[in-house]
Amino acid sequence: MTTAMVGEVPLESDEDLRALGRRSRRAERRRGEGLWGWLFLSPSLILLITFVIVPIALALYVSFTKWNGQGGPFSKSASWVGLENYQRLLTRSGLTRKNFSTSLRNNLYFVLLVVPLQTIIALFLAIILHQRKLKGKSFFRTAFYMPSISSAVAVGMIFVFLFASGGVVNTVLGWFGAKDISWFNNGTGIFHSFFKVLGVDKPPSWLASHDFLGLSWWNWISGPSWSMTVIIILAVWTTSGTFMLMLLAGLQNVPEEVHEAAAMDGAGRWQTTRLVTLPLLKKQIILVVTLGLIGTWQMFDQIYVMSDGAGETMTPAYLAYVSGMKDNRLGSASALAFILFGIILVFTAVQRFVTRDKEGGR
Amino acid sequence: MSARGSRAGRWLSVGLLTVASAAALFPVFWTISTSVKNRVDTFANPPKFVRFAPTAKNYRKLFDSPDFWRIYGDTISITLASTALCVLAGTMAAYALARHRRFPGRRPLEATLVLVRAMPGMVLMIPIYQIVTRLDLYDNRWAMILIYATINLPFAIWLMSGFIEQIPVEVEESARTDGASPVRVFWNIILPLAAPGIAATSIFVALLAWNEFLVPVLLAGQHSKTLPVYISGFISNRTLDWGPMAAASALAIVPIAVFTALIQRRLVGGLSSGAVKE
Repeated sequence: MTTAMVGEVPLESDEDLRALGRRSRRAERRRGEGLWGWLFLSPSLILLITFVIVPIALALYVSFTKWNGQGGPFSKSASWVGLENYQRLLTRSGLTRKNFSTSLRNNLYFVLLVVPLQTIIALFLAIILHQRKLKGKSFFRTAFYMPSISSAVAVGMIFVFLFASGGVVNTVLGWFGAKDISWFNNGTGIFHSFFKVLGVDKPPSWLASHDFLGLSWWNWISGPSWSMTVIIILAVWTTSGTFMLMLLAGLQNVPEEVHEAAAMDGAGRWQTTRLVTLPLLKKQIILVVTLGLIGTWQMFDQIYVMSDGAGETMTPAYLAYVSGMKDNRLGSASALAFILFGIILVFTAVQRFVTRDKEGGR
Repeated sequence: MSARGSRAGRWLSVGLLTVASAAALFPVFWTISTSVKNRVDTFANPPKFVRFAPTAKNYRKLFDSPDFWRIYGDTISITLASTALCVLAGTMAAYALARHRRFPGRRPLEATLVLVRAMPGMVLMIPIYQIVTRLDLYDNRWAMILIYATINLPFAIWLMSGFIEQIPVEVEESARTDGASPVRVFWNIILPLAAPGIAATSIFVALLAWNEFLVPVLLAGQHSKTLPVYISGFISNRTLDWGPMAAASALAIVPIAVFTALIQRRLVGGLSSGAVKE
């Protein structure tokens, strides 16, 4: 490409010749730089190829086979079944599809509640903490960050303890007159519980008779189960701190004068926040929402520790684990994991599209 | 806004922050308090918040088990080794990507890095488990170190890129015209200048490694078990020994918490001067 460009330059003077020499030297250096570039990248590339690219390729292949993990994936014990694993999960009615769509529903409510809640709480805390004349700022900052650095496993166990029957949460709720709630192994959806209070005990026939992915509409609108609610609270509790830190970092790049100018113009705190701070934080907010979406669709650790999928807390990631590592249905598990990957990509793409710059690069 | 209004506003913010930090700290407090309670106090109904006689029994029980210290030491060494590898490889890659914008592999590599983040861990772990067991590397610390480093690598590259892009190119160009090789430039000029970024990135990566669960729960047996897996082991048999479990949890959380509290100002500084800015 460089030579083609050089070829178009009419050579007329020494000046041009010298320029040509400079250019070819630069081209040489660029080629050399490309080599050095590869050298600097090589440790990362070796790691990524060995532990990411090769496994993904293998998983993709396995997702088109029926394989129980015995013998090699290319041996006779793994038979090529084409799209069957995907069909069983998406189009063919049966237990596999029902389990999958149930896990999707569980995880969907989890995402729809956790992402907005953690973003709003993180934003709220970051904005309050960013005030200049606030005492004890570093204490609060550390306190809010504490949940994020605590081992998800350790904290998951403590949440089990806190929400247990006769535990702290039920005791505190008891002070306000609530009766003991059984939080675990409780697969009733909270929307269903709410409908029940309103007197709708059984599904209306039009909700029961229609289904999507083998799950009736009535089951789709169940809301998160009571058990999942505990994990939702845990997730919001864990991640808000990290996101607060990211937003706070973004806020520190907003010049103080911007706020002062806004205050000078008579803007109230709410107005300043809405009209000045939020637009300047847009990039960080998008980042936080993207990370939130990716993280919430991959819910695994807490389910492993807290519920083992019981009480309608089964998520696609955990279902992939159960069918791949426990039931030894590696083909199905890989197909499931790839569908989940597709869902994550769709969600992030939609989110990117919604939050794209509408004013044209301002 | 009037002076009185803003004072009321400040009290309101302090009030809200206090409630929020109490909620943030309570489970950690509860872990620590459970770790120094007797069985009777642990299961007291209503729960005992502060009025109980503390005991060191749970910790003694933990320390007496020969496994605990080995697991604790393994967790530290796996965390440190994988963090060092991850941050070194990540810094080198970030340098290459930041300085060689026309580099042909740049776009596909960046796309891969984004995809790795969005990729469910199970897509990778099912085949990795198969590969690792076949290579006889199940329950092997070195395999875990390499996999930990790879999993956190995209994050390290992303964070380090922000820092490296801020180092002016002129600094290294003068050294280059003096004939220093790119390796020398990287080692003698880039690394020292990027030190604050490297420190912040190392801490974030080490926190992720310390708490990593999916990889060790699938790949570690008796010889390379880490603390989170050990803690989760308390629940497997339904009769749960809360005291020692809370003690182990406290030992997983508290040292990290103290360390983070000491350096938290740098962490925010690190984030705000690094990639999050972009």
